[in-house]
Amino acid sequence: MTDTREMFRTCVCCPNQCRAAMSAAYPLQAESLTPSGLSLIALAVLEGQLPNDVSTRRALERTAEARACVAVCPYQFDIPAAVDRLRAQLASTATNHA
Amino acid sequence: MHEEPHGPNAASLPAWSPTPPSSLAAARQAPPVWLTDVERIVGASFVLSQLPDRWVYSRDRSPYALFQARNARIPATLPSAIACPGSVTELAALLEFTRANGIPVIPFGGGSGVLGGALPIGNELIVDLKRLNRIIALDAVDATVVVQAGMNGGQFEAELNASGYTCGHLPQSLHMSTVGGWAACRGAGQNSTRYGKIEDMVLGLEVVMPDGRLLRIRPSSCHGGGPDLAGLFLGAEGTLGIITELTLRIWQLPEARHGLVAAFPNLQAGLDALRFMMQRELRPAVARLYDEVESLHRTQAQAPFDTHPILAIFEFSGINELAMLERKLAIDIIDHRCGGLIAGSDLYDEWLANRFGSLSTTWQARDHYVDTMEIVAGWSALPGLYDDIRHAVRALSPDFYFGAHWSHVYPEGACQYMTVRLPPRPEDEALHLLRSAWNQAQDICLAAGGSIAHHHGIGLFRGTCFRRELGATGRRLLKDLKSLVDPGNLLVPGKLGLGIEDETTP
Repeated sequence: MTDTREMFRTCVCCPNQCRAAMSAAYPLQAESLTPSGLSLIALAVLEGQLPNDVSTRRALERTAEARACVAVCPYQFDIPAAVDRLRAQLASTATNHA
Repeated sequence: MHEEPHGPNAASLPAWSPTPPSSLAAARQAPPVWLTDVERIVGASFVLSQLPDRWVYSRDRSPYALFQARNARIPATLPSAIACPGSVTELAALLEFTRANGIPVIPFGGGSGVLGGALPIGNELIVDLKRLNRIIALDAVDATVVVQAGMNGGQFEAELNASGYTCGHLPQSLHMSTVGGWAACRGAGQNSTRYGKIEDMVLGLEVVMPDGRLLRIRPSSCHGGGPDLAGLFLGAEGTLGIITELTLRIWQLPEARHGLVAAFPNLQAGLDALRFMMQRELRPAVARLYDEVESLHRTQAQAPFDTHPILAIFEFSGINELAMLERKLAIDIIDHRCGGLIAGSDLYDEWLANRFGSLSTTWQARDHYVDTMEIVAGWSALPGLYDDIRHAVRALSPDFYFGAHWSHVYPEGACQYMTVRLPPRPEDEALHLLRSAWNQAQDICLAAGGSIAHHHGIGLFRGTCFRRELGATGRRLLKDLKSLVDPGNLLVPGKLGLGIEDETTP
């Protein structure tokens, strides 16, 4: 998980250079759908700052729009795939189903 | 039950923050009672109030926020919620509602600001403008474009390019910032020496005032009557109203682009070359001069930089014959008047390929503390300013990296863009050193007659010094203006130096 954590951390520190790859046609243009936003949430849950609850896992389900960014990531990260893996892990370890 | 996360206590916020974070109780509060009303205005699908969404909107790209975010902390408070209006009508209704109910609001574009302008510091409602994201009209005869404020900069420029035009505004943050954000913060792009800053391109605009009224400032090449009303909103960072639409001057894509790389024996020779070019009315699209530290990173002291260590990169563009002539005239200045040498074009090509990349990400991810400061001064003051600030910063700690470049150039002066960096250390110590470096740099700048901000704006963290630059009468005027249009102080409260008591400003 250390490598994954470092990947999320680098994405959090990157000035969102992939943002323009996300389509302007998406109905919701929220920051939490971007790789940067997903990485912020992922890092926070890994560090215990956000709970492993339904709302966090639902937020981490919203990776579809961010997939457009993978091809232009300056670090060649696949943040949506890493978030999908994290979410599966969180679901298997969740104790709070609220 | 997992306890809702919270921000740092007041003591850990930088001392230059005028407003301490709100209480932890505020962060834990139940959804605001007005949430259903906001949902009614913009649609329930376009209101975000869950904790993870609020967490994401608690930061901007200010270094302080990044230092917190990389450690899974929030810089100040969480926003109460995020509303994403899909039309100007919805935005106007939203502001009418928030004003009537005393709800503080922060407009949000790309969140690319670096001085805390978009940071929630009192559980504000964030209004994300990115659903207002299209070009409304492109007039090929007048060479103008009407664009909504929430359009992504990279997408905007790409659409213009497809029609044979460029905006001419190409900041490093192009692909993450929005057009409205450029205007709200008086941004500058890498081609500003040729095309000007964003305020030089704005012909007209539309603003939703704090009470929901719509103000349209008619697009025109110039205005001959009265003060510049559009100028009130350019650089106001949303404190006086929310820009929703801009009419901008655009340019035909250049027929040719010619790079030029120069090596100078010392910094003064390089500054002289930039000055001579501007005062002889050359129009480089790109003019970038690096100090010895920043030059060395790029040149590795390879010839001719082994004897002439100062790097400059230029681009001349437009009609081929004209661009070639300007390049030749620039070479005359570099060679004959300033003792410079012409180098191969590799460093221009490299800069061009990486112009929108960030050099700081890797440092920040490895727990270094990187920050930047951009000031403006006249040519006569710049060499002294550079020396004095560099010595002052280095005197604070020998661990400080200090580098500078000059890439927004005018006939009478230039922007001096400085990068400071500290290696990993306890955060309190690093913040104290960064704050001291900022204070020293701004004191020296003001004493030398310079201006403390070129294109990063004021936000939260530069408010105190901005007020010093304004002077007593200037800040009174700004405060009166704010009180007149936003008597409840609900739009972007605490920013632009407006949240600081007057007696605290010398």
